[in-house]
Amino acid sequence: MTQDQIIQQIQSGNREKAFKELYNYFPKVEALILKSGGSKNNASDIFQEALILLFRKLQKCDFVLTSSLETYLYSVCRFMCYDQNRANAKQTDWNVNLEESEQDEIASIFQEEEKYKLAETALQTLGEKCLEILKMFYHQGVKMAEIAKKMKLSSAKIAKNQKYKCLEKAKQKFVELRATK
Amino acid sequence: MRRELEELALLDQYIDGLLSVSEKKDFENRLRKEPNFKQALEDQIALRKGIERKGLKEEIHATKGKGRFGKRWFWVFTLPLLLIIYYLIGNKSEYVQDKKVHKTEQLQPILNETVIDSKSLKGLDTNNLPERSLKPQTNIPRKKVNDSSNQSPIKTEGQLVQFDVEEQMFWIDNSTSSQITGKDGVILTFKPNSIEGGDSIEIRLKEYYKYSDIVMRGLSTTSNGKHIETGGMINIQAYSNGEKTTLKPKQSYEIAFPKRAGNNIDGKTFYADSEDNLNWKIDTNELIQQPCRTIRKGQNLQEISGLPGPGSLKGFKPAQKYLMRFAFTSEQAMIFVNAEKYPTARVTVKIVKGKVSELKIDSKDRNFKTILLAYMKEFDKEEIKARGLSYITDIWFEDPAGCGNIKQKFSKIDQKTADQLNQTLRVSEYNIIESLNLGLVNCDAFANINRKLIDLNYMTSVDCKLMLMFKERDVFLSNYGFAYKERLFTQIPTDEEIILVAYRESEESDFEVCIQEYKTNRTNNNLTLAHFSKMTTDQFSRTIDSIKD
Repeated sequence: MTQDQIIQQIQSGNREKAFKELYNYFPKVEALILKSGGSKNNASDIFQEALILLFRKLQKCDFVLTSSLETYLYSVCRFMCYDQNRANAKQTDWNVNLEESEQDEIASIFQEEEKYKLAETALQTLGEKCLEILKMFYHQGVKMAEIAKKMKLSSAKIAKNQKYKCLEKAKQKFVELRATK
Repeated sequence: MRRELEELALLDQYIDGLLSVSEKKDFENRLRKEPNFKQALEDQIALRKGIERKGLKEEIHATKGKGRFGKRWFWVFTLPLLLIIYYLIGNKSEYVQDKKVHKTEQLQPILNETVIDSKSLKGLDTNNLPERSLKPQTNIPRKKVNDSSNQSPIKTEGQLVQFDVEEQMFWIDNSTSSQITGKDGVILTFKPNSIEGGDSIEIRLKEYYKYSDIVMRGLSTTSNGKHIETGGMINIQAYSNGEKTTLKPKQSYEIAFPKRAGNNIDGKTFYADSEDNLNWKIDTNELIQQPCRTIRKGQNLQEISGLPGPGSLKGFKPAQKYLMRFAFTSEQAMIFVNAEKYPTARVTVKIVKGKVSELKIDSKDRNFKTILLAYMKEFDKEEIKARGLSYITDIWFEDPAGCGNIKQKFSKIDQKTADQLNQTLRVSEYNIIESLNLGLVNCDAFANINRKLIDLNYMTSVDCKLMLMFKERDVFLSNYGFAYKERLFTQIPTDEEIILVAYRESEESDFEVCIQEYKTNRTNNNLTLAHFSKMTTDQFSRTIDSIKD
C-alpha cells in the first residue's frame, strides 16, 4: 500500500488496513524505546499513541506532511519518549528529521491530546451500553435508527435521548476530574 | 428532552456545523457572553475526542500484530512445512523442470521475422519524473481484481495480480436530463427518463483514460484481431434501488472524452462484454450518430448543448461522491457537488472580470445553501481582490469539529498547479459519441497502417504481465508472460515504434517493472535484455503516463 493509499484509507474511515500497514514500522520504534530504557509494553503504548496522533493530524483538512509516514511516526514516538524521559530528567533533546513547524505541531497535538485522555478516563466510568452507544454514534458514524436496532431500544428518538444521558453522565465526571487536576 | 440534554444537542449541532446562519450567530454571541457556555462547548469537544480515542484504541488493538511484522512467527513455522510439501510434490511439475534449465532472471524478446533496434528505458530516474496529475487524480486508488483470464493453469512464480481504477459513484435524477463528470474529465449526458427504473439512479463509472490505468488493468484495444486506436474507454453501470438496470429501448446517452494531445482519431462507438480478453465490437445501430463528433480547440463549448464552457455554466452540475470541489480562474468557476449528501443540488457560478457575478444555488437542503452562501460571501470579499490567483478548495462537511470553520478548509495553491487543474477541468477538445449500451464503451477507430504485419514472440524467465503500446497511436495490447512460455503479439506493423511494459507485483516495492522501447525493423537483428527494476505504484503510474511524451 502506498503512502497516499494509507492516508486515504485513514481519512475515509477504512482504518483497519491502514493501521495494519503502519504496524510494519513498529519494530524500528520498539528498538528505539528499548534502547531508551523502556519496556516492550511501553513501546506498544507509545506506538499506539503515535497512531492516534497521526489520525488527528490527518483529520485536519489543511494537513501537510513534509516527511514519509514512517519518519513522521518515528519522530512522534521519539518525541513521546523524550517527553517521558524528560519527566525523569534523563534526556534533554529530541533531534528528528522533521521541519521545525512539524516538530512544533507534534508538540501541540500531543499537548491537546492530554486533555482528551482525561475525557477518556471520564468515559471509563460509564457502563458498557452507554459507551457502546457513544462510540457507535460519535466514532463510527452509525445512524440513531441503526443504534436503536442494535441496542434493542424501541426508537431512534429513545436512542438519541439515551445517548445524551450517557454524554451528560460522562461530562459530569469529566468536570470533576478537570477540577481535581 | 430535558433542558440540559437539549443544550448538549445544541452543542453537538454547532460542532457538526448544522446551525443556520442566525442560529450560529446567536450561539456565538452566547459563547462570547457566557464563559460557562464556552467551557461546556470545550468539554463536549474533549469528550467527543475522548470517545474517538477509545474507538481508535480498540481498532489499533484489533489490527496489532496483523501486519507483515506480526506474521513473522507464522512464517517461521509455516515456511519449512511448505518447503517440504514443495519438494515432495513440486519436483514433478513441468514448471520446476523448466526452472532448472533456465537460470537467468531476464526478459528476452524473441522475434519471429524481425528483430529490433532497441532503446532501453533502463536507468530512467522515476523519482524525478514530472507530476502530471493533480492530487485528486494521483490519489485514485487502484484495487486488485480477480484475474479471470482463460490462461492455462501454469503454476505462477510471480503474482499476476490485476489492478483496477476506482469505481466512481454518482446519483442522477432520471426524470430530468442529467450530466456527470468523471475524475479524469469524461462527461456523460443522459436524456430524461432514458434509464429503466425509478427517478433516483446510481451511476457507477470507471474511466480508463490515463495510460497507466489502461496498462495496469491490462486492457487491449482490438476488434476481431484488428488493432483499434482508442480515444477513451469507460465502463459504466446503472442501478435503480440497488438493482442493476439498463437503458430503455432506443435510448442513447452521450459520452464526451477529453482529447489527448496528438490523438486525432475519427472515432466510432465500440462496446465490449468483458474487461478480460477484450474484444471490442463496433456499434452499427442507426439510432446513434456516427462517427463521433469532435470539438476542436478554439471552439466554444457552449455551442454544444449541455456542456459547460467559458461564460456558459448554467445547468452545470458535475457531481462527485466525496468532495465538493471548487476551482476558478478569472473567467469561470466550477463547483463539484457532494452528490451523496446533496443529490439534488445544482450550482451555477459565473465570474466576470474576477468577480462572482452570478451564483445560483438550487437545493432543497437548507444546510447546503447556508454553508455555501456563507463561504461564497467570505470568498468574494477577501479573495476575489487578488486578481490572477487561482484556488482549489476542498469542502469537508464530515467533521467540522476537527477542521475548524469552513474558511479554514480552503487552501491557496500556486498558479502553476491551478493552471494544470483548470486545464483538466476545462478541456476544450472532446471526442463525443453516443451509445445505446451501458457497460464497456470506447470511442475508437481502426488503426489504418499500410505496412507489412509481423508477429512478435516474447519469452520471459519470470511470470509477468505484458503490455505492448504503440508509441505514435493509442493502441494497447495485453498478454501474460508465464515463465519460459512463448507469448505472441500478432499483426504488428513493421517499422512501428512500440513500447513493451512487463511487470509483476513485488512484496518489497509494489512492482517489478521492465520497460523497453523498440522500433520494429526487418533488417535489424539485435536482441535486447533488460532487467526488472523495482517501483512503487506511484512511480510505475508516473512512468507509464509520461512514457509517450
